[in-house]
Amino acid sequence: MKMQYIRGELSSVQIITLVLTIAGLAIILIFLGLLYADDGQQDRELCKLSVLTRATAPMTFQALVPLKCATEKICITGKGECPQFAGEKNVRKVRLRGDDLVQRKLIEETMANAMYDCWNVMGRGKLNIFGTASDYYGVGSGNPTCVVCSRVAFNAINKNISSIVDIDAYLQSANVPGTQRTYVNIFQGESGVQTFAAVEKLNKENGFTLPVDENIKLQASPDGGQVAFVFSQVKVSDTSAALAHFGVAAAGATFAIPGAAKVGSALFLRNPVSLGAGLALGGLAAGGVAYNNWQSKQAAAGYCGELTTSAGDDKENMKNGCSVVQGVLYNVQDINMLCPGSIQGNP
Amino acid sequence: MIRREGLMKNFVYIVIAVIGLLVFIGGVYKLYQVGVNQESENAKKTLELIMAKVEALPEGSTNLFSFQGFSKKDWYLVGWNEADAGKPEKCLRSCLCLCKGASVGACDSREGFCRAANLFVNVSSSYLHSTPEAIEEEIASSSGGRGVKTIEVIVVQSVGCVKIPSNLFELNVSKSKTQIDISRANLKDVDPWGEHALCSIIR
Repeated sequence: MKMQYIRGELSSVQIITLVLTIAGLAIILIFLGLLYADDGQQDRELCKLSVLTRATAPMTFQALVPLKCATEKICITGKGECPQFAGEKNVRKVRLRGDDLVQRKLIEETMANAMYDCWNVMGRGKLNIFGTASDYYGVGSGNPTCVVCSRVAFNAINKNISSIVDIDAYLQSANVPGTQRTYVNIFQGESGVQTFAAVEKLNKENGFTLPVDENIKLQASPDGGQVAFVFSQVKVSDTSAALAHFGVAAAGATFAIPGAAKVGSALFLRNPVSLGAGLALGGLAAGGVAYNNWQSKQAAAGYCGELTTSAGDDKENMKNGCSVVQGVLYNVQDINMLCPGSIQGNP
Repeated sequence: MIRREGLMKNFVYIVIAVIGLLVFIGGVYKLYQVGVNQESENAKKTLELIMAKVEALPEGSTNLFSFQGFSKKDWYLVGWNEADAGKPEKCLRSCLCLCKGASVGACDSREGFCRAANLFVNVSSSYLHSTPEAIEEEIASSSGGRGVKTIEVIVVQSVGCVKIPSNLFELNVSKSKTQIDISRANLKDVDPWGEHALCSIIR
């Protein structure tokens, strides 16, 4: 039987092409809509999308791609609001309930997740996020540039709990939600580099000094008792010395790259800065906890090696870099030591 | 008939191509615009945050607050009061402004943001500045006598605005019944270019 065509009727090929094109356009529009959405819609996924967009954009246009990453505000409280976030919007409250062990787990889990989310959203340190953007913003590529992923504030925390919280141990033993791998395991990536031993060895033999926040003053200011999880990245031609850019200096420590962590490997560094002091400030404000109990109980995740960037970028010196996620006290001294370049993203 | 079908086919492809091209051009333009506006967006948010902290601060108290700076290096926080002459048109009463550039015109432009304040607003910053100073001293020479020697003297200067840095910065905020004082002290680094001095153009 002969098929009859009506004049002007579209063929099946044309219809399929049309449908695919419309679907493609819709996807592009949704993508653009998400990327340039209003503040209310900014979330982790949006941040991740903007990170990927920037990392894969041609170097020339990198600076024009905004990082839609807003700092998450987390208030861990035994009672009431966190005064540190007075006047600020979109604060996520984590209310401590139950016995000491339950509360301890909640604090450790919240902080471990904040660190993991930061690491994950920023492409696990392997993406060239700042690239030419750091030059565009006038800070040069030699200085670490940062994104403050989250700020965690503490209020009215029981001193018994503050003395037993050990985020470092939690990262080693607990699994990331929805996976069968521990936080440390994921931070180490495919390299599987176990740097604990290396750091320990370094500590004893090569003069790696654990930071001691001797100068922390007790203060009852609204800015006290706050820790920020900060992602920082530096572009360097020689990655072997790159981690020295980060600083661990933030707490006045000397730093060297662990022997096991070769170029291209992920690291898990133990005790680079004292996160606990921030908790202690919150704790102190709430009930006089000695911050010594909190010292040196945190970790940082890092990656050094070739960073993924857009195709066609053949500038060798722009390919290598180091990325670190770590928790530091949210104050000018510590944050700016870690981020002498600039801070990007939304406050 | 065949020619008509061919035209129809081409027409569909041309329409698709035009739509695709428009979306692409629109996307690139939007990308450019948003990239450029990101700074303004952050400036607006920072100003709102400063205002929120000021409002949340109880009367009669003083506190140090940390704020996240943003990347460009020429944003200034300035305050004006109702009776001030030459204030931006945006500022009808007392207000706090965050402007890109050290001029009143900058505050009135699209990259200037102002928020009204109910109290008298005083914004200031102090910084270290290196300045040459001539000192007269004995000169050890055969003729003896006195000579003039120039040395660099580091002095603390105070200006009527705050230059926003690219990373974290602290503002000391104090609030009384009638006045809000916002100040930033950066007495660690010497400001070699006198960038803060640009504040004097605004205030």
